[in-house]
Amino acid sequence: MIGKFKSQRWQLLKQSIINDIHQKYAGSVMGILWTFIYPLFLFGIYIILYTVIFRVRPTDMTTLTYVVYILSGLIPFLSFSEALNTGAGSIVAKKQLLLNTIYPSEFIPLQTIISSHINILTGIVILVLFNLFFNHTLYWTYLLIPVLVLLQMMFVAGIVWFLSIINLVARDIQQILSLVTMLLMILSPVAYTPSMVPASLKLIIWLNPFSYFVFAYQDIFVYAIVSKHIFIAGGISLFFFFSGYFFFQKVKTIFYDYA
Amino acid sequence: MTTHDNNAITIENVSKAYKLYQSTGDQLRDLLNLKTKKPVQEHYALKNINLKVEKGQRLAIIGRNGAGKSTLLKMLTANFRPSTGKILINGKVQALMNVGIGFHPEFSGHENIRASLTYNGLSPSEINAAVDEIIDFVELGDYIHQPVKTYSLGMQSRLSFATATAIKPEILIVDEVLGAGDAYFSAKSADRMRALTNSGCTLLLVSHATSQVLQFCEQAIWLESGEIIQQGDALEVVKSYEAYSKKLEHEHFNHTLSEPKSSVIQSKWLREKLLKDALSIDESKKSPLGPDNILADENVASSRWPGTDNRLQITDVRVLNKDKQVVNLVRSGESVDIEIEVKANADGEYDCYFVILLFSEDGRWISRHCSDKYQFNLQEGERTIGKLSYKQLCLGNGKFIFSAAIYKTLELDDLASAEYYDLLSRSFEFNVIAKDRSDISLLQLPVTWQVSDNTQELKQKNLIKSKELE
Repeated sequence: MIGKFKSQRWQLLKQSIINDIHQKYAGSVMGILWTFIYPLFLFGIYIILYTVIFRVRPTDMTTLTYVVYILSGLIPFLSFSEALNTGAGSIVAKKQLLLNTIYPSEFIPLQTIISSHINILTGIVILVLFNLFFNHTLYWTYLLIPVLVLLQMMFVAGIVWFLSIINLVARDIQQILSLVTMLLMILSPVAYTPSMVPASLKLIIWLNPFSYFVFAYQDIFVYAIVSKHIFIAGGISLFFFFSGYFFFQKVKTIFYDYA
Repeated sequence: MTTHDNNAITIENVSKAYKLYQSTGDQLRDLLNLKTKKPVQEHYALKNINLKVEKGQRLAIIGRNGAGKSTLLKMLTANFRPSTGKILINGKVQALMNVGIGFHPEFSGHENIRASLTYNGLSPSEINAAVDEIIDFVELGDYIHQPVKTYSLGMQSRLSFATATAIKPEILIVDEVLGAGDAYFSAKSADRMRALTNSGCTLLLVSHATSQVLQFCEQAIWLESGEIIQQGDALEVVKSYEAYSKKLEHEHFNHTLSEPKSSVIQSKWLREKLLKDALSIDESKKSPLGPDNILADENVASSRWPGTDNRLQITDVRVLNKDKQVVNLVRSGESVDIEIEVKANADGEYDCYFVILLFSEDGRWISRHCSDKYQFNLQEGERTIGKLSYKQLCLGNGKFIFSAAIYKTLELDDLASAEYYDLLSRSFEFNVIAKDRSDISLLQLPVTWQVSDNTQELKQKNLIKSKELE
């Protein structure tokens, strides 16, 4: 009985994610192709930017490795920020679903952040192929990608459970978030290595929880190692996921009155 | 669980307070248990509601805007909690609260049906079965594959109504979604609703249209300012509610004539007074009938709305068959009279219009009969009779309900502002038997059939032809 009930809930979540992805591209001519065009475009820009215009790179990397270094942090970051922004506004945007007695309301932020992560999948596929053809490398650490992506989604889910419910009362959250993600992009070690940062500012990198995810992706795609980063990221994501979930469950009925 | 087995919904002492804040900042401060800058006011949308809905019962909730109807329905979906009290629900609830939950403008009608059914927890195989049936019902043709943004409002509401009613829940909550589309479609929608409610599900219907309430529900509650004013048989509750609305309308009309834009309807004492008046109708029916009280059918409680001028009063209303006997069973096709007996409470010369409104049992309005203006002199205590005659009653099998009234002035296109002496709303009934007992149609219109005698004509034509040949 309970097993059946649970599988029905997962079915519901799965269908609503498919529906969300479908909706994202409904009415566009290229449709789902956009999920490939977007990362390809990014690759193009960064390759041109760093091989033709800037010509700067850390001393221990080739230009192409540096491109991989940047993109291995940038692709997850873009999905992260999209999930954060759409997720925080998800209950406001879909508040009609609160009147639906079948669909569990905690799925509303969840479905949004999962469907926002569709770009990370295509981005990673392209990154793997890029590494294979231009850098002639195929690392075993790629096996850790699903784990890391899952941890990232759990991390965002936790934050979004907090923010989406508070956003019902103070819509400022969405405004603040667009500023925060802009800042976070610069504060995360995406386009630079920690060694390039002055010692006095390094603390900011260590205090930024998303840095550890960026490091973990770079471990996988650039250095092909397993280090403490993925474990720290795991701890962070589990903490946020469960505290976010319990917070959401505790306060949801109080906050829904303001929806 | 076992104690509530027969109740689909049990509501115990439920109140719902909404806090009114002066600013969003205060709202956040209060939620975080901080001190607010300005005092927070509480508005009670529901006050101490007690209600039990049995399985399979069909209950209507009526009341004016802001009476708390939608708040009550919202509490039944698990996401909104009452401030105090308890709600127990026994069964799978489906709420049709908003038109088009989960509809996306870029999706085609077909895709939207699927998406919407998904959110309602149907499995893929159930969805496939439902989709064809819905497409069949909405009759949108090839439009079903066009994006919903290209649909007219009527098409959209058709689609969402059909989608919402495709789900077969144990408890169905409906909030004003029946107004979908044109006359053809509202009849079709009503049929669909009836099929759904006849399937044995428990129904909670919120509607402003009292005819819909009578059509779908046996029981009703009347909410006003968050409280249950009356609860019971749908017809009784509808009658009191209509009496109240009419009074309210009347008061408003009178005041807007004398004072510019006064907010009389908002004033609390007036509302309470009118409420008392409307409910006293019910109490009067319980008091023993005096000699001048109406002798209406026992089954139908009379609900009298005394007019502004009480000098004339209806003392009796009766239905007579072709032999001029007072009856409550008449035959279709025969002559039937309805007499309204009127007594004067003061000497005077009176202008009077007699009015009878005829309804089917499920509350549909069939016809309105307004007399010409009659003038007569009556002494105090004297009586006169206004008689309405159907030469040939053209109603079908079934029970019919009518209202009787005497008006002082009557502008047919503005009945709300007309002055009346006395009005008894939906207080009388009679039964009709047609020749064919199995015929369930509402009307038996007098018609004649004609069949042209082809054989004769043909013979004549042939004769003429043969003569021409000669």
